[in-house]
Amino acid sequence: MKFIFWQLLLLISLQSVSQDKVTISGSVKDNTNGEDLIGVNVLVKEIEGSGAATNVYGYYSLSVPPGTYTLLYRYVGYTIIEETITVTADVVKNVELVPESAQLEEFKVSAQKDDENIKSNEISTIKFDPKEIETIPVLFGEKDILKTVTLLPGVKSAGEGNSGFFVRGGGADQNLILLDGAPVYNASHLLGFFSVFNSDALKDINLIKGGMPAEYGGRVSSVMDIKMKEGNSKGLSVSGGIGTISSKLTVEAPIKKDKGSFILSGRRTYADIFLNFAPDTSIRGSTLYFYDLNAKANYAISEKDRIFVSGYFGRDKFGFGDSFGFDWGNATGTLRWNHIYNSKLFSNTSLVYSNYDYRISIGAAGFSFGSTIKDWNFKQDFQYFANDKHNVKFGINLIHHTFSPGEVEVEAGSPLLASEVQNSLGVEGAAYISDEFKISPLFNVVYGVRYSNYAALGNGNIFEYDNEGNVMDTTFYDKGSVSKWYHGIEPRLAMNYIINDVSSIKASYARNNQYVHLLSNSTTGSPTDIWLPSSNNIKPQISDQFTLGYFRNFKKNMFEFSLEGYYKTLDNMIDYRTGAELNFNATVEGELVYGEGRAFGAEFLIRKKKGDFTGWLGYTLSRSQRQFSEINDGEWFSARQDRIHDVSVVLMYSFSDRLKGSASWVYSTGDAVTFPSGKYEMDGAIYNYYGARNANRMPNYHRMDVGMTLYGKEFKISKDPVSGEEIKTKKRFQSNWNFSVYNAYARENAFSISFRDSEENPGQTESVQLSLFKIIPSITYSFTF
Amino acid sequence: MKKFSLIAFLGLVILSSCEKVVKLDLIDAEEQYVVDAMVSNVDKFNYVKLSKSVNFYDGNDFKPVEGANVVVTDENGVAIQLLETASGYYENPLLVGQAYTKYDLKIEVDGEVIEGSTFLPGNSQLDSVITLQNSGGFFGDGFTAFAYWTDAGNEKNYYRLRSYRNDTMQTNIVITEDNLYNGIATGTPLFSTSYEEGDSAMVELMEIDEKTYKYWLSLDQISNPQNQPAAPGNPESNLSNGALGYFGGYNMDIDTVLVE
Repeated sequence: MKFIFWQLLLLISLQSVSQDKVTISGSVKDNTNGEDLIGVNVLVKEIEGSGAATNVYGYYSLSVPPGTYTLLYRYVGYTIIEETITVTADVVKNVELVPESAQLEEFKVSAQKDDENIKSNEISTIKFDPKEIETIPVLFGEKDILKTVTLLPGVKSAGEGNSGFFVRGGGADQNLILLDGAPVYNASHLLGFFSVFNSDALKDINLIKGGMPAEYGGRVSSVMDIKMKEGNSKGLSVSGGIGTISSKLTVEAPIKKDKGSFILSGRRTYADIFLNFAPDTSIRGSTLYFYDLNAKANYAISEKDRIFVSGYFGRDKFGFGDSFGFDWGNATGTLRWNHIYNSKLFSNTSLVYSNYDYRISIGAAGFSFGSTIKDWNFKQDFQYFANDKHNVKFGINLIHHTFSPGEVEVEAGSPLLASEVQNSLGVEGAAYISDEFKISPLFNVVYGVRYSNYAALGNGNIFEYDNEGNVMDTTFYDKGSVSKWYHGIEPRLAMNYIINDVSSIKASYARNNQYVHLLSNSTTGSPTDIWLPSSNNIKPQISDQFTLGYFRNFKKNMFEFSLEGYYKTLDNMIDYRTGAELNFNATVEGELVYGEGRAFGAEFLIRKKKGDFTGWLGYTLSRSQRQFSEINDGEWFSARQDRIHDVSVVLMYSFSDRLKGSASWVYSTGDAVTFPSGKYEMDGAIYNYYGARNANRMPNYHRMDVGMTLYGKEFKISKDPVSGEEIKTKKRFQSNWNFSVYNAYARENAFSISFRDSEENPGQTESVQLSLFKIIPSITYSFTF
Repeated sequence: MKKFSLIAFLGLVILSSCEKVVKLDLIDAEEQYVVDAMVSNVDKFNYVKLSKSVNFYDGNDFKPVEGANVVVTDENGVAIQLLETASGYYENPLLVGQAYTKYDLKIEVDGEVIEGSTFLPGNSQLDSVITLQNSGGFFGDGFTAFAYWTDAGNEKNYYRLRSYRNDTMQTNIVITEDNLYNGIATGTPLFSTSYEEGDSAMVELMEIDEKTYKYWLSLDQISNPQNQPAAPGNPESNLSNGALGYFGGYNMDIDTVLVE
């Protein structure tokens, strides 16, 4: 492994020495608020196929022979900047782009080319700017990236109103969700109906379904990399929203103009306030709300150094007076240092802390119990802009995990004893290197390798189990000693061959190892689900995924079309013995069984990005299956999320500058589930008899949502007193009203189906479908100034 | 962790949920033998009931299995043949379970043999059963029964509790283990039944072994719709030949109180 690493480094450095070139580097920001712009194309007009893109901190670097060049800075939604520059030595060129919308109508110049999807070597990647999706209708009018993302092919919602998602047949716990680099373990608020991400504080969302670059690792299905805004470094700005069930406020301001800024964004729901007016007195006096707070500050301490501090704190609270309380939440903190060693070497050092915990207290019985996960995460990333052909990234990552699966506290007089299930400690390490190699203007490759390992550390007992899951042997490991060590090499490869200006073929391969695992035996997911690290019993999950895609644009890039196919194998998947007890079980590993999985499918997407009428149509044909020797006699069976057909249509129409309408429609095959094959009587009650695992299907799901956004007047029109001409000035205060209807045609989709004794027909049993949401209208008022 | 069902419940009340009876296309299985059998220290709770399973949408008409040869043998080799005293119901007054004893069951019916064995553990006694009026609100204003007993500290103990309201048995499954109360006086509310003033409340505390505990635990997780199990299956039985049901050993203590 080390050998490959050094060889790569050597190869690249040799190439860079052999050429006599100078470097143009710098940062690209938004001229209105000073936010770093990610993925801006910096092109050299005179050199065909040359150019660079800004990284996630808005930094770019490109190498050219000395001379005079025309540089183009091109970014969707912003006016192109074209500048002529003569370079004889390395030069720093910082640029600020002007958003199209900030300009007066008559000066509007559209980005001429919008063929990023063809030229970029990113495959199986979904990018979002939270602004792009703000008019798409959502449940309760609460903008939610985790829900909107499920409207794209290959990504499926974990359930009605649920913010969990499945990517290409993987489980909800197989998605690496990063908020400013901090892994988020439970991304759900309020029983899953909201995600923890307040879209007002977010800048950029990147979901990678396959062919992940080597810098990411740790989950086998996907990576969702979410970046928070840096905060307005030009001046104070305030935005907010008042909605049907929640309100939010965001404040951004410079610490020192163009040097540093901060953002503070908060949100709270108030569904529980309505509970006090509930006709049923039993509901009054109960609490049910969540809040979250995003904060971030950055400061450029020198031309070459910039410091970021960011944090997230969110909490859900639920309870009935003193008799019952349940609260859970995430807290993360990130300290980050960007340093430019020289015009070619960019460094990012981060220290991340994250904590997830829940606690349930039962006042009536005088006890409470809870669980915690604590991570310390150190990351060192380098980006080396070697030359115009190579862009190299390398780095290391170390995570120290502390899992406390369960602990009970009691008050005096409780009929229970205080107790604790032992903690699991471990260190997850990784080193990676990848190189983006422009072999020719038409062919480029990103290849790399990630080496990951996991050391399960002692201070506790390690159990060995027999085939029935009974403890056979117990060994005690001292604090700090390694009870089990796993490691693996994860090759990554993504290729893009540009056929012509409007079409390209891309392919990728990625292997991912996952060392932490979620145990959940309910269908909906719960805040009390348990995360467990790998151990002597639980091997790391491993996935290998191959993808192949064809990308084609039509009508001057007005329409984007893509077709992607994938095949994925999954090893060391986890399932449970029938009737497994997962909570508060010191020997929970004995309740697990291990098997394999496979997922394959084809994803079609046609998207219209320009004009008054925009939107997309996505269709996914896919399968996701599992095989366990203990289940279904070792035959392959459908995973729960094996939805064979999945369709989504999103339409957005701009009636005028002030009125925008939108509609979305989704359809999918029902989940694979296990229904009874019969029933029997025992001890005076009737129980169901079950046949093969997941051999039945839930009813098919479909739903339409519609929305309408009415914007306040954007410009103030006045007359020039001298010439009498009309002058348009942009108003500082901007606002909009959003009206939306979730499930517009009141489809009764099955949230769950239960089987029970019939009340109307004694002596009979019946199946009952529960549907959650029938026509949910909502109104949100948003403003910014 | 039954408490979570409360959360799901409140969540659903607030949102505009709706329930309707639907008819599904189920995969019908062949009928299976069902064995509902127990040995205990209480005379009337030593029996074997044999029946067959039916399709889900059929009526609750479970055919008794008659004419079986049923024998229970204890660990000392004493074999007692059970007699069919009612259709599909087999018992013998000579069979009364002893604490800390293993029992084997053998059933021969229609050329098939079903076997199983269980263990009857030691006996814990109820300290008391009381009923308390609920505080109103979410919990209503009926009475809830609480059972109290003292756990034996020198061994791992598992319990099942059954309660009756005016001689009607409550069919929900209540099981517990001494993980969180080893060797101390403990108790549990029996929430599922709401009693009225003047009712009689009878509680059976049944000590069971680990296997029996796991069987009831699985059965509860699978059958309780509030648990929403991701993958329901049949609980692991101690019976051979694919028979459904269970042969369990229960050491029982019974107490009855008047609700007032």
